[in-house]
Amino acid sequence: MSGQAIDPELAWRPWEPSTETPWDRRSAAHLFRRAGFGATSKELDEALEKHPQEVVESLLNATESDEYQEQSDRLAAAAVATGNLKQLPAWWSYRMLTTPAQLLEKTTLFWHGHFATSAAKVEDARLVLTQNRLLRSHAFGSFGKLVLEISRDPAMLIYLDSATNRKLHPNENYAREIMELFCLGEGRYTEQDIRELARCFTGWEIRREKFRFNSYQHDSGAKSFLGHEGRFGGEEAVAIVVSNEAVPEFIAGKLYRFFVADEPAPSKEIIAPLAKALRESELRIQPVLKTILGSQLFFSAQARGRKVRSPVELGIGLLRCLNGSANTFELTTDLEEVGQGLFFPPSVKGWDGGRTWINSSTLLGRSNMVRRLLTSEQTRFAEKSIVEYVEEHRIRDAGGALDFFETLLFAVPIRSSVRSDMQQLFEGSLSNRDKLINALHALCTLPEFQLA
Amino acid sequence: MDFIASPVLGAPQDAGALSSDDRTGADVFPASSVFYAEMTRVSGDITTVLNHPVAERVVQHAGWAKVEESQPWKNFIAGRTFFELQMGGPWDKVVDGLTAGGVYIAYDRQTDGLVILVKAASPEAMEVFRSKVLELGRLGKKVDPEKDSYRDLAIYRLDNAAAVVSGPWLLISNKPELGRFVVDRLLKVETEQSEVLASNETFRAAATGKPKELSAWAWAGLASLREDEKFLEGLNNKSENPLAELLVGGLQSNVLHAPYVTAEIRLPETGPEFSVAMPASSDWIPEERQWYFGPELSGAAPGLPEAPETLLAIGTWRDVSEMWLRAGDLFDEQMNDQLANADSTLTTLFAGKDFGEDILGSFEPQMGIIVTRQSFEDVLPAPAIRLPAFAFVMELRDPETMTRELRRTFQNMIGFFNVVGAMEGRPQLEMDIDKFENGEMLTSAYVPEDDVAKSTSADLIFNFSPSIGFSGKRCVIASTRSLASALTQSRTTTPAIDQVNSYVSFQVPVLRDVLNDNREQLISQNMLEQGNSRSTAEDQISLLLEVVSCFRDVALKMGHSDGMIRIDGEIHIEQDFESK
Repeated sequence: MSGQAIDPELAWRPWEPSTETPWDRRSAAHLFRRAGFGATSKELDEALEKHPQEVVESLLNATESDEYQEQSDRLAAAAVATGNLKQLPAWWSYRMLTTPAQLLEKTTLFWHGHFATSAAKVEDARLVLTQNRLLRSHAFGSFGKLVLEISRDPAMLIYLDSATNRKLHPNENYAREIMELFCLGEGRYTEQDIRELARCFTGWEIRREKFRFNSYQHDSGAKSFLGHEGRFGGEEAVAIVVSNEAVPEFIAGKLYRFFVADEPAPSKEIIAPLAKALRESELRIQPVLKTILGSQLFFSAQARGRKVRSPVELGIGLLRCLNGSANTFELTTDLEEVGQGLFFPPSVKGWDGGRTWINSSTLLGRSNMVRRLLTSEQTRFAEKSIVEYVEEHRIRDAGGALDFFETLLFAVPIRSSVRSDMQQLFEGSLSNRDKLINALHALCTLPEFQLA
Repeated sequence: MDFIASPVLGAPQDAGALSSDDRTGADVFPASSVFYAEMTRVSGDITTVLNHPVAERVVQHAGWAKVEESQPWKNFIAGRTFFELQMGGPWDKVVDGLTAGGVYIAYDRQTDGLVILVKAASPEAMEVFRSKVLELGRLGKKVDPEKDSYRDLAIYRLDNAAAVVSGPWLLISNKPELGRFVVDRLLKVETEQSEVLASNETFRAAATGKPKELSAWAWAGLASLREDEKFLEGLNNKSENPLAELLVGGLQSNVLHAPYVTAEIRLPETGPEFSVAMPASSDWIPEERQWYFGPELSGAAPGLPEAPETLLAIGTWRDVSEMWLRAGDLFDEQMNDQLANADSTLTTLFAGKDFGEDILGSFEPQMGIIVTRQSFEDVLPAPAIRLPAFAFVMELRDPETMTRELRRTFQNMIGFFNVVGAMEGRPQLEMDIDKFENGEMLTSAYVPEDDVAKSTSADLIFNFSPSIGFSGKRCVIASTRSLASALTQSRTTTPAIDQVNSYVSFQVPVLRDVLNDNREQLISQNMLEQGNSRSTAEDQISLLLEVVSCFRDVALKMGHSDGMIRIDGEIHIEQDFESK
């Protein structure tokens, strides 16, 4: 799977390691980086004892223990109890850092960007948390069910001004976005479709933070949209939109961009097998993720290092790879400053991602974020200092340190032209916290580190 | 810094002359000093703190192990070990020997210099310290052993200061002329300017009657400080903060005239105590601040009704009505604008009655604030974060008229809250009236939705059930119905203390219970803020509660007697650990 031409038939076949592309720490780190936020050195070692397809399976089937869920629920409840919307991003970061089911969490983040809803407008921590839980519980499941649930989700209804949708004044916002941003993509519907679809959602309201259908405000007349005619209600309307033939291709394309590569945009031919798989699984997400993450294309040069790290992937990823813990309030403030405020997407379109993560301002911000994470007194690595962490991993010299961190943290090899400079920074740093942090920080400001 | 008057290097010191020296800093610091502090029991105090049962109890707690694993603690231990190795003994013994004669600090306004004087047990002890530090300094290049000298004493340069050792004395100062003055006094050299602080009249007045068993004693010469224009300007500035005015307005006026202020710290086994005192006179308090101390400084705080599980009780004498009416003389322009707007709104709310004169003026100046724990036992819904309840306790000058007035206003306010709450989707307040012997209460409570009615993790709002109670002259405005009820019907009051203008009583065991009520919240916040695992967070919160449980109460009072204003504070340590 090298070179520019990708054979759609071969692309999605299960990957088998070869001498050319072996199942090594780099390959395993690539899988964990994309299917989650990153792997520790120990997790990489454990992964290498399995077949890559087994690792994909285990990522897809990883579950959180009852104890973990209970703990997470307590944290969430504590965050909501304060009524402070800024507490929830800290809670979610903590979850991303600690969950044993990181693919589920990463996919929840994907849906958060897809069904973007900003807490800045919803202004209710409980509703925002409810939506987050909804996204998580349906992350791997049926896309159709997810769309139906999100259509009745109070946070979404508030965000898209559908909280009071009356038959005399149907609100077209949600009707437009469900087709343009959530299910079909641009150019797959008409303005008339929007107007008719909006009529289906009339009577959908929120009362006391809960969805309510007000039959008196529902337009029960006949509607005609996307080639369907009838006296449709909201549920039927969602089913019609979701059953549109453009949906699998649209969702597969977005999954490709999130999990495989920012650019170039995949051809229709490349997406077609994924769309077909989605269609055949009644739009269930898990089988398609399995196909993507275990595919030849995913482990090929067409995918490795072909994404720009989002701020979350950068910050959470750095910590997860180094088994780190940190002040999650500071972390989420930094994430917001470099463009990815959890629960606060910039618009209903979510984050554009890709190259837009990087500009002169965010590049400096990303560097500062890494520095703050490394220097903060609250940041610990496997509950130890960075010096003790290095000692525990039996890193003996500068070369060893560079190799260790490169494999763990980098999607692409460090250029040979800067390698010796980097190694020099690690010289004499292994027992000196400040020097080690400086070296690690310098490593994490390399252009290569910005890639996932 | 340059003390140089003689180029003699490393000449022997006249240590023998100083060995029986019983002088203090006041005997060698210049009379122009405006601040002076002395600590004469440093070693004993360190021993008291380190060997105190509280310290032992904290160190034995499981959570302390995590503190010992932390980097700052490791750094501290590493530094201490290095220090002990260099000094050749335990650090507390070294400190004991080094500070046996006391530590003295002064700020001299004339030279704008700071001086620190440490007196060791003997010249030999100081000499050992000097040589070790010099050695360390050479290693770390922190001390420049340049052989400047003054009066045959070697001068050691620090960053922005210099040090001199003379017999048992170690002198550090950032101004050469100040350093030279003190060295001359230490060596008893006659010079043109030789008047020392001990001969300063206001200092002598303050030091007379100074108790002997003090851990620290400090003095500030306010008369000299007022010669500083900025200091004087700061005192004369109009306030921009009504709360600050309420707390220290009268003191500020007194500072404009008082010759000095002193502070004392004592560290008995029962817990630390401090006092601040300054001369006072009713003549020094201008008319616009008479509301603070009352006529002839005689305003006395009231005794307050008792309520179960009181966390904080504040009693004070403040004529708030007078303060409100004199806002033009007390506050700056911006604050006056804000107060004028508030006055207008409140006057409307009180049906056209003047808020300052008719409403605030209807209360006696004696007032109290009481904060109590809310247990929420058998009360649902219970909020996830359990806040203490609070109440204002006042006395009405004309209960018959004002009870009706305040009752009506309370009804208006609840109606207003309900309208605003409905717009923001909050629960509604339901009003009720409780009549009882000699009084009545108007209460309100948030009505929960069915799905919240039995919740134990309800919103913050369920901490509140605003109520107002009347009993004779007593008027209670409380954040909860139960506190209003307890205070309005309470027949016991804490005794008023003569000559005390204000007091604060803080019960630490109740604080522990409040923290314990919110333990889950504290653990969660710790996990998010520190990145800790649950077990680590539990240990840390448990340690916090353990530390809190070592204290019994904190008491603070301000009063006037014998021509002095005194502020006394005491932190009482729990003496009976075993039974806790």
